[in-house]
Amino acid sequence: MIKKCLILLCFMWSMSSHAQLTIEITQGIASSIPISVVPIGLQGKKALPEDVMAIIHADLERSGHFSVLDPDDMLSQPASEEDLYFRDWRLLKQEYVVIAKAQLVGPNKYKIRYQLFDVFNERELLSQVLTGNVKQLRDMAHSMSDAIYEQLTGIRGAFSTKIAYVTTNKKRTRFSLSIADSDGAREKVVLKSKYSIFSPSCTRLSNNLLPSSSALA
Amino acid sequence: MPGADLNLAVQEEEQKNNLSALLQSELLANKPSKDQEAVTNHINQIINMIQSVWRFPPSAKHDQVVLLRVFLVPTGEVTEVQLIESSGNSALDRSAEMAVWKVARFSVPEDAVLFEKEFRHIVLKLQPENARL
Repeated sequence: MIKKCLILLCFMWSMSSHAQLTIEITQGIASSIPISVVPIGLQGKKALPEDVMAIIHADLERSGHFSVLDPDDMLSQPASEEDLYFRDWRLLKQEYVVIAKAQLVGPNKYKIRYQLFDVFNERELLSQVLTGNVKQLRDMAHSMSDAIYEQLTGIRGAFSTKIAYVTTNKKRTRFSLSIADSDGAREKVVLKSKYSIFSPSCTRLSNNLLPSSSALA
Repeated sequence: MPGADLNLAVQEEEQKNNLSALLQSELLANKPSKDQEAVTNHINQIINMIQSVWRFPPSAKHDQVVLLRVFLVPTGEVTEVQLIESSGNSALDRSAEMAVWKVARFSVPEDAVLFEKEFRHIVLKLQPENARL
């Protein structure tokens, strides 16, 4: 009996909630997301050998989904949460802010802590600590870009990936196959040949590149 | 002929009845239609307010739907936003919620009874039909 009453009650409640006013919104703004990437705060006087935040800035901007604020236009450049005043960023019409702090924790070893904030709701969306040596600073920056990009767009970032490409000279007598970061940095020539190289493809199981060449064909 | 007289009287009576019923129904209908007009008016304003600030993420697909329940106070201010049904895309869900908080103050009727009846809590169905995907 009680069960029946409960079911009836549930039914009535759902009926009443159906009568609730429902408003449909079908259009939004499909423009780029305003974000600020604040220059890194340093503990210690020496600057980082790589400008990690500038790399992130460039990555996000290049994706086309973000409009990144010029550091010169920032009202403040906080490195930690205590110094972050959301009011400042709201004034600049920013929706998200990335701040970071770097620390030299050993010989040639850096620790970077970065945080992503939602300016409007004044809350932290992402916080990570990465460590690495000088050579890994660029990788760290790209991995930060990937995490930020995925958090805000819902799409996996591809900044940590590599690109492979073939270059040649004007007379087309020398060909080389190169690998670089997704932003073109750290180019490395992996193969030089007198014959044309085309369509390098990746093997799935390892990080090997398989170039085809007219000499091989 | 008394029969014809009676017929006429009945007809007259019926007409009168009809008229008064019409008048009554019109009187009754007048208030709800005015309310309805106010509700539609505020709904349109709310739609405009949200559409002008809702920035959805590039991953949003045109057929994804977010359902939110919004709690309002009589001034129209938002006090709570609940996610009733996720679109499956957390970035899209967040953008929808953010749009509501950005509007902050919804357009609502001044009439307290009407507010309680229709606007105390409302359901928003957000679907980015102009998304590229």
